[in-house]
Amino acid sequence: MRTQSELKFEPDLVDQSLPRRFLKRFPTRNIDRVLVLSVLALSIIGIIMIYCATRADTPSTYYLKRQLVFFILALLFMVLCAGFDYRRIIPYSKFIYVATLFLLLLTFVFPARSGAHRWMSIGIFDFQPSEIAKLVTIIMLATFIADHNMDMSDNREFLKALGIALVPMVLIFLEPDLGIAISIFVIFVGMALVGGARLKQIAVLGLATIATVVAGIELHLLKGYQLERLLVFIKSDIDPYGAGYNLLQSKIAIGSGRLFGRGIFQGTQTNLKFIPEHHTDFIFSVVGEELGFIGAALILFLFGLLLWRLLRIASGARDSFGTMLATGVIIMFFFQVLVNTGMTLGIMPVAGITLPFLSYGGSSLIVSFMCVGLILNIGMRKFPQDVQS
Amino acid sequence: MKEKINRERRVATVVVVFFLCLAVVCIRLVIIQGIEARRYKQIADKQRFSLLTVTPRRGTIFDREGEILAISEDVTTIYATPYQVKNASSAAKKIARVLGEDESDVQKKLNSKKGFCYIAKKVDNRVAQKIKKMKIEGIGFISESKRFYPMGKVASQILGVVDTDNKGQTGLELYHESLLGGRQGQIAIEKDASGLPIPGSEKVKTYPSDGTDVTLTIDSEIQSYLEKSLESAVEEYNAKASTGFVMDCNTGDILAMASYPTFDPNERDTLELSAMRNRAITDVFEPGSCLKVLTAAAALEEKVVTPGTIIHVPKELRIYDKIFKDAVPVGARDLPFTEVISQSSNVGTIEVSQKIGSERLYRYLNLFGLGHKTGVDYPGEVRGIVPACDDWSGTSIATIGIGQGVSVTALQLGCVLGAVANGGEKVYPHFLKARIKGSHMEDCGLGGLGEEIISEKTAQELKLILEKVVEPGGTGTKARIKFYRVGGKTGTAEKPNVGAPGYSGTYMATFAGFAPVENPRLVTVIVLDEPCPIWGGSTAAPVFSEVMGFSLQHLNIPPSQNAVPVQEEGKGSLD
Repeated sequence: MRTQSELKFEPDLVDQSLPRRFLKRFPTRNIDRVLVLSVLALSIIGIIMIYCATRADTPSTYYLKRQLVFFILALLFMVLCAGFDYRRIIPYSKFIYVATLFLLLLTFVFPARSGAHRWMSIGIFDFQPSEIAKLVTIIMLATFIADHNMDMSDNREFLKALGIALVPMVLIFLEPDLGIAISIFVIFVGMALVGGARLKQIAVLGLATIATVVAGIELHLLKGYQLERLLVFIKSDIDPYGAGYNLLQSKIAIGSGRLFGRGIFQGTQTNLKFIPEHHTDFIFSVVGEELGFIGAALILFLFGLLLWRLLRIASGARDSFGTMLATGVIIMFFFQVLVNTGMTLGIMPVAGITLPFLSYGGSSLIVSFMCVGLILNIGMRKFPQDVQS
Repeated sequence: MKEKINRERRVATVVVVFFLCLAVVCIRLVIIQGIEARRYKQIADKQRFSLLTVTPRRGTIFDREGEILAISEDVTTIYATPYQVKNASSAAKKIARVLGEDESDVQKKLNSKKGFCYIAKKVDNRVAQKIKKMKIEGIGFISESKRFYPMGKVASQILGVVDTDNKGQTGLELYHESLLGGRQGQIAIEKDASGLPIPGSEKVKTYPSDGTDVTLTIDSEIQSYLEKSLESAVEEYNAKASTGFVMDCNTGDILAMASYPTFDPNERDTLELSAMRNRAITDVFEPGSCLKVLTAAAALEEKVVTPGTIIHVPKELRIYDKIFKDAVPVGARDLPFTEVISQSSNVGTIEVSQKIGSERLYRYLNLFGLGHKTGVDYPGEVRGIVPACDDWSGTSIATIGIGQGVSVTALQLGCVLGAVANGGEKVYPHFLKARIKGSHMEDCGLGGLGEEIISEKTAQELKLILEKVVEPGGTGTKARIKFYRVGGKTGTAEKPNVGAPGYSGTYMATFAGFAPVENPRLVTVIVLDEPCPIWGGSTAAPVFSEVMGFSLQHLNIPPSQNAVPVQEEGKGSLD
């Protein structure tokens, strides 16, 4: 590949001790501290809210302890992902991509849980390959688009890129995990737009998608509950005990929080389990109820801050791969935040998408921090002197 | 270069869209947490709390001597949450044994797929305590209160009954609901999403305030004596029903009031509406000759006659198309006014009432309260019918003067007698005597005496005339009482057809009287529905004698000094 020619490595570094080598490769002065602080703040609030939501369970600290362990692991992964020149990924992109597809296939071997093949049991931890697949698809698309000079206007190249996104998407859809499948689709559209695709291509893709969805409904490929959940947000008040239950309860929780919230541990909607999935998909409702508008607005502000810093890094990246990688991550985070908070507020369908950094779940948290690590990596190495050359 | 600009614009657009979307989320947040917050908070509270009503203790009803007539007992209702009961068959066995119920019935309830079912309603606390001690999972208890009437049938029609929520349904329980019922309290219980109550979450929203204890004017011994007498009268004279009451003519206190058939309020399953009627207040009848008391009062007060005025009584009297005769036709004779009344001569009374004139008679009907409610504190009182003076036909003055063509309640008739007996003042009857506040009684100020209807002189004259009724030669000799001077009036009235003109050929027999004549204390009215024989003097009068005699003695009223001893007589004179 052409991009390989840009990479230059210093042979004398081999002689240095590992810590020194690591530090030297870690140009800390360009670390975006605001970015790091905002994700740390989000995660810590998340951990507290998870404890609020689950302390009625037995043992009361089960989820708290696990999320703390995931948090520490996630920090390690973030440092790891920031610790090498991001461009060294490029030659391995294809390998990682194929390996991930294999992992996705492997989930079908594991027994289904609640009717879905989403998890692989590794001891005490259940790994969710679809989460890592999001990041890997971003890396693969970034590699491909950068490789083609950020020019997706050619129909063949556009279709190839679409294919890269479509394979994991279909596998994840079959698990089934509709939320992540849709995330990947949105990530592709966003990256293609930034990557030079023509609007006409996107329009055709949109029409094709609608046709596919309609066909899917007609052929009953979408599961009944998925369709119901997607449509129900429009009229949750009409069917409060059926499909709209979660939505209504979430709105009630957030609404009854008012300006200052009911106080930590005081949320009745949360404690009395009126909100289902309150530690995962509906964690924002818990924030809304217990911390009120102040808390919810703080969360949205922190996400806004995060997106702003990510956009800064994306636009300042030294190469197209960096730009595309950052773009993909931004779109992923943004889409998840928008759909998740929108869902809890009743303006987005219930699609089973987690809120990054806040929702309970190891795979989600670790992958989110890996993404942050990679973006920090791009930001740290935007100047040539920071790369070992 | 052009492509580069295009891309930058595109990225800028994406960024703007991002933040616009985030702004939409923020606006939505403001809407839900600010503008609509109150509504959501209400929904949250509504689905989380359920309100339990706490029934206050209902006031106890005492008679005038402090005997308990109605009291609320603490009882327990036992319920089950069937899916929480682990071993239904063994639980059913244990519960059924204590309750004395069929084991399979209980087991059927425990096996039902419902989330809630009653095992037994309003069980004695001691029984419930035994089941509580078993500590069976899924069995719950609700403390409740149950109305109990210790004397059973005694005063049942006066007291009335309560419904399952302890609200008064009939009788005084209904009329004095606001006093007896107290105020309900409310307790809020918090529930989780699956609807299970959270222990220790109870919050009292409003405290219940207990009902007030009250004392009635009823004397339970006179009451039960009256009831027995009315019952035996119905049996003896083969009557359809009977009613009667004893009232203090100087205070309006109703000491006893009963009707037969009657009922036991403790046996709620077999309540019959006709047995619950307090006929003395809710049923009307034509008073017949009893109303001659009123005609006589009007005549004396208006100085149309004096007790000694000689009235020429022909054999019969024709007024327009109607011929009036006395009950036992005799030839034309001259009778003093006293004997016209004591012998209950229709023709003689009609002649007097013609002298009074319709307008004056109508005024006295109203003055004595006929056609008006007495104002007694009892629900469902009827006012009776007194046709307006303008509507009277040519014969009305004759018929109304002898108690036909008007209808009254027994209580109204008693009030007429009462007014005569107490010296001319209107009587306002009542049941509620006092409410009990802590350790002292607080008079409710109901009833009593009112305006003067007739002068004391008229009343005195009339009392002596009415005493003649029970003396030999009068129609009511069987109403006499040993050691007491009695006054009264018999009545035998043909019952009008129901819903059709004319009369049915069946009779109501009445005796309304007072004692002792020299210083009247009590008024008693006895009404028998279709007795055999039909005459008030032979059927109602003896019942009056029994009841009045007992009441006078029970109340330690001193005997009359010059009372004529009662002679054994073959039969009572005819009306």
